[in-house]
Amino acid sequence: MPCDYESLAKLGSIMGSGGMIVMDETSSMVDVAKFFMEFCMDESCGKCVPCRVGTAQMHELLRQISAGEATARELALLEHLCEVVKSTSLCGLGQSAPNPVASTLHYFREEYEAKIAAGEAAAAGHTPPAGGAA
Amino acid sequence: MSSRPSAKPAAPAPSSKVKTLTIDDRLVSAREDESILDAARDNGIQIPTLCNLDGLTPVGACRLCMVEVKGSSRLFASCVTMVGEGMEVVTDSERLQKYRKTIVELLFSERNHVCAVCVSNGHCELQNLAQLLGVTHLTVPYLNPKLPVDASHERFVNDHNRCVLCQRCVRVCGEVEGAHTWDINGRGIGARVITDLNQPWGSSETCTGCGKCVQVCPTGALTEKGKSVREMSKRTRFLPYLTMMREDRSE
Repeated sequence: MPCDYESLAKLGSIMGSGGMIVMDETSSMVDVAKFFMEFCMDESCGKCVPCRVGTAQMHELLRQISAGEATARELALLEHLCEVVKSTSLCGLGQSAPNPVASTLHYFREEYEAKIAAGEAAAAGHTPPAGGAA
Repeated sequence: MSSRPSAKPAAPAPSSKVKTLTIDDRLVSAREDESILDAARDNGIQIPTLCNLDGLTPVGACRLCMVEVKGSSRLFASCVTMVGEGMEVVTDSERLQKYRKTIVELLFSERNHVCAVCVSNGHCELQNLAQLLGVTHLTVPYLNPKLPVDASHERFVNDHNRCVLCQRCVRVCGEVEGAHTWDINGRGIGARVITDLNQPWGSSETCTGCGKCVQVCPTGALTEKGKSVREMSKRTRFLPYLTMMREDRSE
């Protein structure tokens, strides 16, 4: 594969820092997405709402999924936030922050679903965490 | 030519050009230096906003005024996007409504907006937006941060729990009062409004105590002392008047 902008874009990646990373099959793709989301959350300047709060919320959702505390509801919410943050953020940081999540969901969805299944099983044994009203 | 009325001039200045565009299928005309938001409002089309305030420089921070422009898959913040010839703008669609609702939810989840015990309950722009967009509950989890309240000023209170980081206080203090007491400290989810070099408001040496920041604050973050629940209503009308008077003087 040629290492240029167009070829990487075709694969759903970008040229630049962290555009290409080598890892083996033992890496959890949910944790990889969480790692990148933490980076984006830390780097967000905080000016616009979707990037400032959206990255923090997505990071929390990824933490819950990774820890086996999430259900299908959290996964659906994560996908929704990916769309909102990508479409409404002011600058390139927020617009591309959901990419690692979208990309790992596209290629390794079964890893998310395995975590969700664990979360659903745990939730069936307990009362679900309180959502609360506004 | 007859003499111009003292109110806002209806005719554009000779140097400015007029653009025609459609907003929500309505053919409208606007000066080329007007934003899509202003052009829409001039024609009675309302777009939800939070950080925007007539008389202050627009910053495009809240992202609630995002609109669709035909021919682009991107969305545009209408407060900072100028009109263009032949532009086809959609201000209200299912997609936009969905995004705006989520953005308001994100704001509610970020801090501790407990309306029931808030001095601005009933006079709050964030609350109004939630009602307008039909946000009855949150789908995102509350982040419940532990935030301080600065009540060191003799007349005003700064409650970080209600702040939405719209930067209206920062802008009105810098642009209108000229004191630049307010600023933003930190970044991302850790960003906070601060006075001077992050010292208590009461010990600020630059604050003139004019209270403009309190009046432009859209929520119960900056309020007057001595107000009980629901008692703090804001007066923002002074701002367009002030800027108009200054423009008249500089002409």
